[in-house]
Amino acid sequence: MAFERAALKSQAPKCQVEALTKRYGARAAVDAVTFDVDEGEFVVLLGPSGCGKTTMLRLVAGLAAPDEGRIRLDGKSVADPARDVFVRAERRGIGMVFQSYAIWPHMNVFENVAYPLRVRRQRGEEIKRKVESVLALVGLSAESRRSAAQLSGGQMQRVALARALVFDPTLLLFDEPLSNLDLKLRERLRLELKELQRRTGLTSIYVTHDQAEAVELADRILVMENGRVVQVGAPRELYHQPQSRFVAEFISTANIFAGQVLARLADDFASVKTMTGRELAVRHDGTVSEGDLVDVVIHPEDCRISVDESGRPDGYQARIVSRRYQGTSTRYTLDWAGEMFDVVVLGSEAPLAEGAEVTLTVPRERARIIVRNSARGTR
Amino acid sequence: MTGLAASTSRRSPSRRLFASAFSPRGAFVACLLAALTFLIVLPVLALVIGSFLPTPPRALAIDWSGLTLANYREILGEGNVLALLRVTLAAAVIGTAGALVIGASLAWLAIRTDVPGRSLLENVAILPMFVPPLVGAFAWDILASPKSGIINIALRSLGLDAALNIYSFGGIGFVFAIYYAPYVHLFVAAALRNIDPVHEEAAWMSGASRWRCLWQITLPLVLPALLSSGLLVFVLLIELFAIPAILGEPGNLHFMSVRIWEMVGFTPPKVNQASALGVLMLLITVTLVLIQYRVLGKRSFVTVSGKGLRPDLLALGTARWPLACLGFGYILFVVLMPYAALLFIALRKNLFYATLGALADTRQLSLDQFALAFSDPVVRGSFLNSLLVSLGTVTVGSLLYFTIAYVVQRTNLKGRRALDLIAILPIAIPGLIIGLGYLWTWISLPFGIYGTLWIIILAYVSQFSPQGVRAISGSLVQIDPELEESSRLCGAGLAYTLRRIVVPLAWPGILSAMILLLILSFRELATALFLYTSTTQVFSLTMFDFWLRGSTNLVAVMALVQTLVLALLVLLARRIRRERTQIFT
Ligand SMILES: Nc1ncnc2c1ncn2[C@@H]1O[C@H](COP(=O)(O)OP(=O)(O)OP(=O)(O)O)[C@@H](O)[C@H]1O
Ligand SMILES: [Mg+2]
Repeated sequence: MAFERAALKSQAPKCQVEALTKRYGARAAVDAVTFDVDEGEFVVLLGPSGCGKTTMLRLVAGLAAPDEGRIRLDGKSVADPARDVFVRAERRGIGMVFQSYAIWPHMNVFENVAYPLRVRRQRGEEIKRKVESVLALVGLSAESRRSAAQLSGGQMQRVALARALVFDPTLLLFDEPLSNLDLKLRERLRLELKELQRRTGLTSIYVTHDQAEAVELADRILVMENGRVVQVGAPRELYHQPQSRFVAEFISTANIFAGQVLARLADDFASVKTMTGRELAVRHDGTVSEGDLVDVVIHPEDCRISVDESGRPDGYQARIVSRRYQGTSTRYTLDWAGEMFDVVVLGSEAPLAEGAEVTLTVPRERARIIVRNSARGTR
Repeated sequence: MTGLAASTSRRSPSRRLFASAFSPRGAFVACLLAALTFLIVLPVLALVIGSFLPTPPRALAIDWSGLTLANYREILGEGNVLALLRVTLAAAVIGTAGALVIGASLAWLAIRTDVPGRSLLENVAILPMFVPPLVGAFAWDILASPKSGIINIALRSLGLDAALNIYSFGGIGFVFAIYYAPYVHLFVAAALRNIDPVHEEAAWMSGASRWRCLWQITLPLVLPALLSSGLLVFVLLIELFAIPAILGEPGNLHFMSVRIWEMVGFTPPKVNQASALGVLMLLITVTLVLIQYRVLGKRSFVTVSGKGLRPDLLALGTARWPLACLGFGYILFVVLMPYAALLFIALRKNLFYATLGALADTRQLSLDQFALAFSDPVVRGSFLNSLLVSLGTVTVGSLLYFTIAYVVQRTNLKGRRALDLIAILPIAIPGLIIGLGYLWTWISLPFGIYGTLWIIILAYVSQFSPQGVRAISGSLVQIDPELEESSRLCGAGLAYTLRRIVVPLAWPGILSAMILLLILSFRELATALFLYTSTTQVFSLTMFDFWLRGSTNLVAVMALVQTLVLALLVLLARRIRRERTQIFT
């Protein structure tokens, strides 16, 4: 994987964003953001509401002009306020799928999808062929003559996608395209989208605040907070090596608690004492020293609970406070020395009862620490 | 057997209706229906019948045996009815087209672009609507009549030979367009606000240029608003009296409304033929209003997606300032310049000027005309009459409209649909026609309100019922029914609930409806044309009368006074509206 990307890196990236800043009033909605998107890559911008994802996307699209920084598409500068360069949206050749679909209600499905081709003055039969093939791609061949006003939400989303795909855009942008749909449909379209992207090989930037969507779709995720990119990485990297409490909280439902490093153990391990006095061994990246304030991140899926395994080195006493049966798994909330701690047990059985005393096993190589940034303050 | 079953099943609903008409509530609705019928349907009916009668209206005398088509034959045979139609429709078409272009461009500029001063522009763009058409017509006559118009004098003095002729189709169409463009503006602005700009962005992302997007996406999306406001303006222009009467006659352009007035007012009076012409006009306006309802009902695009902030406005770039100048310059041109001209005439001692030098002669300016006007008994009398008529209309009207609006919006009483329907009928009935209908009705009815202010008041109450009922309905709809229901559950009766809950909550809305009524009745001309006597002349009528007699100075003073009164009312209404939004947010 890493090797593949290195090979691709030899070409110029499809889209380069450098130190991009956009201010509304005194506040920067996008604050000195830098990233590249490689050919064929699916990049997801992930972050909470209001962190500047949409603004970022609109800057790339050309729907908004940056205050500082540069954007390059295929090596060509399309926005560079310092040099007075700004290529307008209609000249960038980018396809975009909007959150509210933006299907034109006065045109039927065919006309909506054909529009970008008509703008490009393509011939009639050419238009017909391309529109039909892209409608087939999104599974809407049968609806091509229907009025756009009669479509369901899912269908509108497919039309929007077809319209963005039909003219072979250099880059495809998505702004929370699935967030207005119900859960089932969302999951299905997510799969279809991934499959489509794999087949067409289109370079895409996808905005969402739904981490499940991000993890499933992304080759690479950019986590944003307050207009800044706080971490970039493949979904697995973010999951296993979050660099901040914010990322850890956002990307997963991990157990996170504050603690202090007691001592560095051998082999990249350290022992940490939590605020409530628990002691446990955790993994670190070699940058911690004794006395550091840290956050400990433990994923609920990585732990085990049992009734009879007391005495193991990484086993701890705990009591089951509540359990939530979730079909394919059960989520237990434990009272572990006075603090709540979640554990997810896979499988459709849920044998342990509320109130049971159990042994909690936390594999030491799965417990990670994040050193607290002093600028971030302590909580 | 079957026959019996059928007859009982048919009888029971009718018995229920019968019973309900005699329950107190049923009787109440029946009374309301009767009142509205009396005010609105009866006059129109009288007019229609009158158009088939051979003799002019007389008290208590309708000779049913004499029904005849002679009136229609006469006006159609005269041949000039076609000319009347042609002039009326052609000028209305020009005016509507102009209003559409002006209203839609200004709305787009103010709402979708980053033109400097956009919110101010949005507010001032509807100002021309507050200029009474009569006053506008006076002003443009003063400004642009071919020989003595101030603009023409100025052009000639500068050595230019481009004489503007306000008495032409183009001139009248222009005056129509500028004073009716605000209606289009309001419709299109609302439509633009209801269309998510993301639709335009999607077009840009598809590669469409700004210009192409404007034509292929924005314009089609506001098309329903354009169509229905266009039809509305078209109807209003067809029935308009003031501007054609002032600007049409000098250029020998004869309009239907003016012709009806002449037929009734000039000797020998031809009320029957005028009524036939009125029925023709009514047919046209009713048809157009029906079409408008179909257009409005069929499609309107509302595509706001609750989420998200307003995206950036369309950047006009270097065109920003030129377009702002154009927009604001236009408003100054059509609002300020006419009033400047009126003020000039009001201050000017004699009206003989033929050069720029003569125009600029400050020795000719004085306040004498104001003193003269304020001491003129006719002016004072008609000002008082207008005040009384306006107050009467507001009192009677708001009570009636509130009752209708309440019954329609808040009850499920039988007959409320009919009430609603009759109340909005006058949208399709020109004021002139209502007036003519009242003439027929009240001359043949025995109780004598003909010749009093009351007949004018009642005619106004009929004429303004659509606006009044809608305005009050609008404020009633905003009150959550549960507020009312909880009062009833607390044991309060209907009257108490109305007094303590509904009216206080709806009060700001009722108050602005009342001010709207004051404004409309203070400036109305056409409805009163056939209903006044020398002692019941209203202000607009006096202005019109003086104008016909050539007392231009006096008219200018009166126009300024009228505008001042109306402006104060408009400011009051704005204030109330602001307070209302403070209360409810
Ligand atoms: N046109 C605008 N005018 C003023 N402020 C804006 C504008 N657009 C965005 N902002 C501000 O910029 C910040 C980022 O907004 P943005 O829409 O990019 O967030 P987002 O990450 O897309 O959020 P969401 O997930 O809710 O869509 C917000 O604080 C917002 O208030
Ligand atoms: Mg967003």
